[in-house]
Amino acid sequence: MTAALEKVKEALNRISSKIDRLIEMDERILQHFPETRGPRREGRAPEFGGALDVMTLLSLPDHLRKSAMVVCEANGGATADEVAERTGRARAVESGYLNQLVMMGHLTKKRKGRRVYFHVAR
Amino acid sequence: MGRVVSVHSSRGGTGKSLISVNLAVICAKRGRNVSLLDLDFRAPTLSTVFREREYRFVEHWTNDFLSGRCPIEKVMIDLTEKYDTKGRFLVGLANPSLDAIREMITVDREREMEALRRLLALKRVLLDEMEMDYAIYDTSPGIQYSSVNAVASSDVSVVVTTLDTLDAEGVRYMLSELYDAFGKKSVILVNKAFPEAHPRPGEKKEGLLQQMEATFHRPVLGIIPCYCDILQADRTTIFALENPNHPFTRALRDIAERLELVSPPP
Repeated sequence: MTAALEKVKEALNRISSKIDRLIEMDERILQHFPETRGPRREGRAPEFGGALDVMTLLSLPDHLRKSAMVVCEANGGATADEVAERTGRARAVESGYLNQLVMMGHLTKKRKGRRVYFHVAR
Repeated sequence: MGRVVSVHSSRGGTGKSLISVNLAVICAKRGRNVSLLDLDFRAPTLSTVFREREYRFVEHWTNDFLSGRCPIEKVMIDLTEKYDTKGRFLVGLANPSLDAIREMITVDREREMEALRRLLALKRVLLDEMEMDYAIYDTSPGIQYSSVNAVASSDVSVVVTTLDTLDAEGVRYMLSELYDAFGKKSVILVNKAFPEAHPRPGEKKEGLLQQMEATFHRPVLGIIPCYCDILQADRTTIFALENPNHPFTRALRDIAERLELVSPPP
């Protein structure tokens, strides 16, 4: 039983690392092809749907609102690990939700060394 | 760490401000450090209650803090000595001038986002740095930016309702669409209940309480009857201090005790 759980844990770690590599790859591709960066990719809030005010938070689906609130509360940004710890969800799942919020223009992300920090888009 | 408590309702006139002010003073008299903030920018009322002498000297309002014009320390007025409370008692007033109200209701979404960020950060300042046991936010009724910002940044919301069906329906809607959406703890306080709805001393009060809890699926902090002498009282003074033995004051003391149970400070 313990051995099986260990195997599941290893598999989850591998998946998590692969997702990290995909995110890094995505960042590198965007650096080389700046024309693919829309205003949302640059971290600028689009005219509609960008600003993460309370009414926008209320309009988000529950799973995204939960992630967005944690980032709003974090002074100085939060990593997917930190958000996952607060929401009690798997890191890979949380990373997906946070990137969805980035795509929607509500959050931006910045790399500091090996860590990626999510911030509220301004 | 202390708790941020927002006092909210679905409609105006339920007694939010009266309850916020009296509850805050009762908690401070009990030895808790309490900050009371007026976040009802459309209809500011705390300046009327606390304006005696201090009003002319108010330089900074809660409006200024939310707009980023000053830190919260400049807004809070220390009234510990004035009201002779055991714990510290600080008050932050909202600006009642027409210009200030107009400014607050015409801000854009970016500014509202900043206001939310400031309120979320305020919790740490009030509870950790200023060592408050309770920060009580008096909010505007219904779902609008200032009240939703207050609810989203608080730990627990006291939802004040009357037995009026319109109030109760509004509360039920807010419970599911607002408090649940933000995962916030909320408790019900029934105010202005018909005297016959309130049990007499020694009488079992489970009946209406249970009925309310079954209706709202939330703990009910208390049921306060409607008292004509409160409506006639001078609103520039604090009713609980002027009338310590009044049933309203006694009911609020019980409510303060229950609030500590549902949302205990350290």
